[in-house]
Amino acid sequence: MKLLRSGAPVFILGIILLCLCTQAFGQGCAQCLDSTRATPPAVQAAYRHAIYLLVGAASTLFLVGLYLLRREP
Amino acid sequence: MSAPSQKLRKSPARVHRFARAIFSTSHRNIGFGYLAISCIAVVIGTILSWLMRAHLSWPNWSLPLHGLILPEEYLALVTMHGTLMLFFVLTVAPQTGFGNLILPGQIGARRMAFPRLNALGMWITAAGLAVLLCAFFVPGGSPIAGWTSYPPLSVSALAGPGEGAGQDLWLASIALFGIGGAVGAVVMLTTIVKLRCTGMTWRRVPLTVWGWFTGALLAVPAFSVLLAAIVLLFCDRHLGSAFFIPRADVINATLISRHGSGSPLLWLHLFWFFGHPEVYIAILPGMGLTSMVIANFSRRRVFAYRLMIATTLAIGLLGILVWGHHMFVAGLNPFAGTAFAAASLAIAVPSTAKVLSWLATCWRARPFLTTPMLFALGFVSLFISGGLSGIIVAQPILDEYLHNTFFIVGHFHLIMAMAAVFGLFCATYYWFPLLAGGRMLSERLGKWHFWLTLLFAYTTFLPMYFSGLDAEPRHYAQLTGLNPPAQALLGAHTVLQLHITGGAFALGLTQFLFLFNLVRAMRSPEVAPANPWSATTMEWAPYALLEPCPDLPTPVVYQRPCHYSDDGTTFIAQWEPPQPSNPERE
Amino acid sequence: MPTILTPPGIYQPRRPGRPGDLGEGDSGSGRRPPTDKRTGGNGDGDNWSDRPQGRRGPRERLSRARVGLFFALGGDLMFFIALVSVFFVAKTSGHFDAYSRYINDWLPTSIPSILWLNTAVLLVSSVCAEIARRSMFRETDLMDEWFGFGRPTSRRAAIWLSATLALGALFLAGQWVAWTQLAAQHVLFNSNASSHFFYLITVAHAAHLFLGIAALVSALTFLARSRQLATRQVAVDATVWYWHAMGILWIFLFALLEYGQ
Repeated sequence: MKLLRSGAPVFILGIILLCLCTQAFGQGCAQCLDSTRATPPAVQAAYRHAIYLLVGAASTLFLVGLYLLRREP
Repeated sequence: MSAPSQKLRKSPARVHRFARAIFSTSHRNIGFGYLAISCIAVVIGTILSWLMRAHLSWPNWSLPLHGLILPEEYLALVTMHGTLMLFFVLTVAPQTGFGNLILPGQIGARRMAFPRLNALGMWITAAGLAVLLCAFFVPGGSPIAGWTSYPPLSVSALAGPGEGAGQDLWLASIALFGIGGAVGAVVMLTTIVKLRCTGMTWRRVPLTVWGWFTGALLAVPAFSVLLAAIVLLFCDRHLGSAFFIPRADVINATLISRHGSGSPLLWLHLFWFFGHPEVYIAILPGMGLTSMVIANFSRRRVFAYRLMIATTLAIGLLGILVWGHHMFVAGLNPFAGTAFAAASLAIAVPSTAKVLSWLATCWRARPFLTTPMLFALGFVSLFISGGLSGIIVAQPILDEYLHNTFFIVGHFHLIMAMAAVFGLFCATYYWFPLLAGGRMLSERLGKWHFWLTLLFAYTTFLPMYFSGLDAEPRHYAQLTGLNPPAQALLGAHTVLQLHITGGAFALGLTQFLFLFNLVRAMRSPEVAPANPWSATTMEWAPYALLEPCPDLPTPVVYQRPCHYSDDGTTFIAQWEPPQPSNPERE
Repeated sequence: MPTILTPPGIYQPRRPGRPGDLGEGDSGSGRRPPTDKRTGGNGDGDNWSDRPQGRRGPRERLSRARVGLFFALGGDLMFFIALVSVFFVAKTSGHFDAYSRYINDWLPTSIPSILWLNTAVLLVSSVCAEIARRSMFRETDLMDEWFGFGRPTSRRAAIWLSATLALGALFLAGQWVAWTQLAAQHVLFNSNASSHFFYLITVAHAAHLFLGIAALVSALTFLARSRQLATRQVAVDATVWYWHAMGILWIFLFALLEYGQ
């Protein structure tokens, strides 16, 4: 916990810097951009939701597991 | 009269002993079983890699008893080499192999949780290896779709030789491996959570155990998703579904028409969701061991121990979020690619923290450069050289060019094939007295083994960065006979290719030194004193790894590991009770 | 379970010449009991010094089994989440026709109404299972059984577990009926994108439930044969929690198939 408090400003700065570099977003070849534009928004949304679902479920399992287990003596 | 009855009495006892060894639930037997699986896989995998290198360097070389290696056979070599090495060597040996052998000792437990389930997991993994090796002998031969088994190549038996029975056996083998791995991970997690001895709080648990813990925590979601992907691919192959192929596809001049519109991108998502945590499972135990070994031989505490725990967990958690970086050129939405790139670059932060801790732990400490210490330092070196190129390819715009070149091959071989393997060598040299009844491996041979392996590792894999930057492609069966511009580019590297091949052969042959060392040590009657490395962790405690027995003293832990005096001459092991002169310790 | 992130007192600064030297940590104000720093603290009265592993109480084996089951079920959950993710992507996927129009031809498969009955049966079976599980922990009956005065807990649990088994088998039979009903209407596995998922999801769940039935059978065997009370408790508890997990999973999967297509 102390660790988190001391490192928090650096962490927050990092997140801010990350959000400022919008120019670097969406790197990729022209073909990828074309095929993405050709995909209907519903499909793009479906892929996005599927990614969130997988990431969210696995991370939740990881973190909840960690939390419950750290409570053990 | 006595002779025949003696004979009769001997044979049932021998069979009984054999059966007991096979079906043993002792964690030592299970651990050795896993290591045996890895040894078989590594020998076959190395031979396959030699064949690959020989074919790349001398395309017209004819394999004895077989003839010329055809391009599809080269792909079969690539597939089986990758599958054997990654699944059955780099996941099994560090995590479940050494985990089963040493983890109970390190946490003061007498056994793993659920011993019979643990044994079942090992036998399922062994069955997986057996099924995979059968793929060499079925009609059509081994699959050619790579260890990643991308559709549509892996979807239809028409897609290539080996894609029929061979691919089915591959799927069955990896499914068994996934189930065995998940079982092993559940056992390991329960052991670490519930079977720590008195006094073994989370802060006192050695970093190696944190590595096993995080690896097992990653294995649970990863193997399950792999299993789902395999089930779906099986349905596509045999039940006429269309999860991973589009509505109509022409494979080998045959129209394959299904109901439903799938996409190979789906397989990539599912496979790499498994694939990335998989490679972290391969490296995390090695990282934990490196911290502890460097600390031990520097006679210093690990620099920033709690931060090391946090970085291990952070690498584990981030490893779940980054799978898209294997798919930057696969047609992934570039904005999703950015998200994955950001997460991949973020992993550099805890990894760097780890490297700095390793270096800080031994900085100006004048460490004892024993063989385990050398291999741990070699791990750090290879981790840096392999890991830095990871940061390069984590950026989509650079990966556009470097994907599927030998740059990637160099990257993952340096960090997995070499760094993780150095972790395995470090573990073997370090824990040999515990595994082999007190014997030690020869230090002289060990040092020769280390230096030669390090030299040939860099000789083999570092030049792959250069040839990759010059666009040498992966998976190409031969680099001659291409169109003139490509040939001009690659022709400059003919000598380099021979150099890499030479390095690969030398690297493999060097391991005979290690084998010789092993055999000689096993035959020698000399036994080292207990705790020959003056280590502080619990596996070196008296009676630590013996079979559970009521009259053995219960392990108790009184302080954290890595208590060394300032001059490095004395140390306080974790199992030593506090003395009145120095009562308070963490 | 008490929340112990750091054993208390372990990082206290040294106070020379005080009663805390040998790790008692008694501040004298009576605020909290002495901390035994030798072994890692005495957080919440756990008293680890006198409770080595193997002697931490009757819940030790049960707790271990529950932790193992938690992780195994977590993995299983990820398996189904992977299937559900693929479902969502496939639902919106389509193909380009000859005129470069994007055609999504997802045709929802209508659920045979027997599945509603099956869901009800599964929920009732979960209730029976829970009754069986709780009866394994009722103190008065446990004391009787422990002392050897008959086997009231085992008998009661066996009755309710048998009811669960019967209802579970009924669920599986109902699923089979649903599949034959669909097949009779020529809706097979490979008929349609949505039928892929219907069969895949229901078959995967049924396979897991079959494993649950096998677990129930083994739990009943344990109840009849096992000599240790703790073993019987662990077997029933683990089986029933697995059964509940399969039941909850079915509710989500059924909702997905019914309303999500």
